[in-house]
Amino acid sequence: MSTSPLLPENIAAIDLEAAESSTEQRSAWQESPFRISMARFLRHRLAVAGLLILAVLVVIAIFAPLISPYNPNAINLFLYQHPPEAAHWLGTDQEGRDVLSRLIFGARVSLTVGITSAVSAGLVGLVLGLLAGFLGGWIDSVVMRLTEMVLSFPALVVIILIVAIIGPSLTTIIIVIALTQWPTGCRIVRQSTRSLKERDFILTARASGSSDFRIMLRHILPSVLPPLTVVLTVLSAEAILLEAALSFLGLGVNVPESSWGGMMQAAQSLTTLSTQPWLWLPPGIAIAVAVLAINFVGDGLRDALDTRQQM
Amino acid sequence: MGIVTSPAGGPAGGSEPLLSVRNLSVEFRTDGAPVQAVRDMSFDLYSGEILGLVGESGSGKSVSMSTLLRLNPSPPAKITGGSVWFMGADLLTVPERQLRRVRGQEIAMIFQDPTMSFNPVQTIGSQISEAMRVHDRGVSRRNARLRTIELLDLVGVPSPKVRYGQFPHEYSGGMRQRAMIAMALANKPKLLIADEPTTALDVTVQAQILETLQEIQRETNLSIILITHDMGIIAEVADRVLVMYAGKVVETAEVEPIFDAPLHPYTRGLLASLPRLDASVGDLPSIPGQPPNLNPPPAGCAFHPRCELSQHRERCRTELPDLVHADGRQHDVACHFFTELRVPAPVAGEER
Repeated sequence: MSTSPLLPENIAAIDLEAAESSTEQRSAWQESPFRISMARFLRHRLAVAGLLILAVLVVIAIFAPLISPYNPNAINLFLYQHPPEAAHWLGTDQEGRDVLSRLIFGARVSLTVGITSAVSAGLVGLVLGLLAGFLGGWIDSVVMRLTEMVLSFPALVVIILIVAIIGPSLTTIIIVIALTQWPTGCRIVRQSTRSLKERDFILTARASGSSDFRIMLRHILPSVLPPLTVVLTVLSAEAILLEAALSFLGLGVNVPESSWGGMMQAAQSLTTLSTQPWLWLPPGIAIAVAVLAINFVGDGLRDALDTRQQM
Repeated sequence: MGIVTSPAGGPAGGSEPLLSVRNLSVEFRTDGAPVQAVRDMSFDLYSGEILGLVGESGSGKSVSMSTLLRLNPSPPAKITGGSVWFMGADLLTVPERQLRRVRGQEIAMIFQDPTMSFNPVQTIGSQISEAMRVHDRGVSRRNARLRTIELLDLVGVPSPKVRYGQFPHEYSGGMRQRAMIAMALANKPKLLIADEPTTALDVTVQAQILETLQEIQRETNLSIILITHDMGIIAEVADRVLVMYAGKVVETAEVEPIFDAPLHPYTRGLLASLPRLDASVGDLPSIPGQPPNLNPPPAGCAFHPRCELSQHRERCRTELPDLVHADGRQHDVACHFFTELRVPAPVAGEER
């Protein structure tokens, strides 16, 4: 990584006459904060492993129809709760549906909920956090009181209540999770913004005629994205768990669509729990692996993007 | 002799000043009484002039200059009076939108610490180009890049094409300040306010930076306000001097009269505490006492507790001296008894 040769584009960009030494040429891209963070992330083994696992899960989710051996919703009452066998590697469930196929399709729901709700929560938090931190004053007070209000309610109870009222669906779950999870990101963004705006280069930008909006866009936004990204990984892991919990309680995606949490519903019965582990063990493991992988990536990002080490 | 109330003819002789500051007052509202950081400041600046602004820390130099562009966050800063006339408009009353067009484009500013003045995670080149694009939406990225490289070359940054793509931490302190000057010049401003541009640099680099500033001033007929606490720098580069004490202008004149025959006891003290090559090295004389607390400032002349002229005179303690014309050479001073000081400045090593 550290002694790789010059990229051809960089050579083209440099006037050979003006270039004094090769070290100077190289540093332009080697010293870039992005590159430093990349190198640091790649040294973090668990994070790289987590990223690979996530990549595999994403591929599985995208190509689910091609990979899964059966239609996940095809009911076959002759195959009632078969244990794993050659034709059905993970057995079949109460309706005779193939567990492996449902597991593969379930990845779509979990990842969609995880990523989409985390990104939406992040966007809400980003906008409100930027405004609160940069403008301060009454906007700051209102936003902060709002985050405290949201954080003071037990998220799961609120989510269950809202889902019960609106009616469960994938969209509802995503929106509701985003609505209860945005304060975490908002606080981080506000915090970073407040310390950034006291920096001298913000004064320089203002003295050279930049508007508040431009300063936020050019100087604040790029610097709050790294810490926000770390928060987003934690949020998406949490969202996956929340979705699983909701589906487990029967408030998740609509039947017959499969989701990991929905498959865990089987574990509500004591007999299933003790005698038919193929029904609940695979989705349980899938949830644990996905959440762990995301958390490892988050850990790696936190180390890689730590600005204190960078400046 | 008379009270300074209207723009006096400057060195250009009767021409309009580029910048005209009248009775500027700035307060900082904190928990206790407001701190009167700048009190009733008036001065004119003419095209192509280098004005030195001297005074010790807390005398209101930086605050008054950043107030010209309304850069002090309010609260706590509050402009309590005065006007700043620049190109036919009062910068203290124009809307923020209009002021933004003045910032960077007509009046540019460089700050003391070049290390902190650049965003550490963006390349120097992109930041200078950005300063250009703020005011000139039409300029293409390519042209902004070319002009930035020209600017870096102009301010003496070697191999500017390579330097363009480097990050601030890859620059030395002196180079960074040069880049800062390049950024300030990006939009060809008429006035450059340099707030202690060399304080964070070592002495040899200081001289180079000042030389660069002077060269650019000569080439572009830029006006410069140079904030410093270093009388040596003033002697070297300034045309005219404004001495500030406790938020007030206490003396203003061209450089030679200030050094040859300072009229305010504070200016005398400042000059006396300069080390000289031609005098024996003993202890350098210093001005006794501390700068006064400015919430509120002392009654009468703010300098009286430390003044060798005052010596318990009633008038110094009760009556605020006005800035008056002392003689024909645009030499103004705010002291009740300056006539007693019409003698050569003391030299370090002699009695205080």
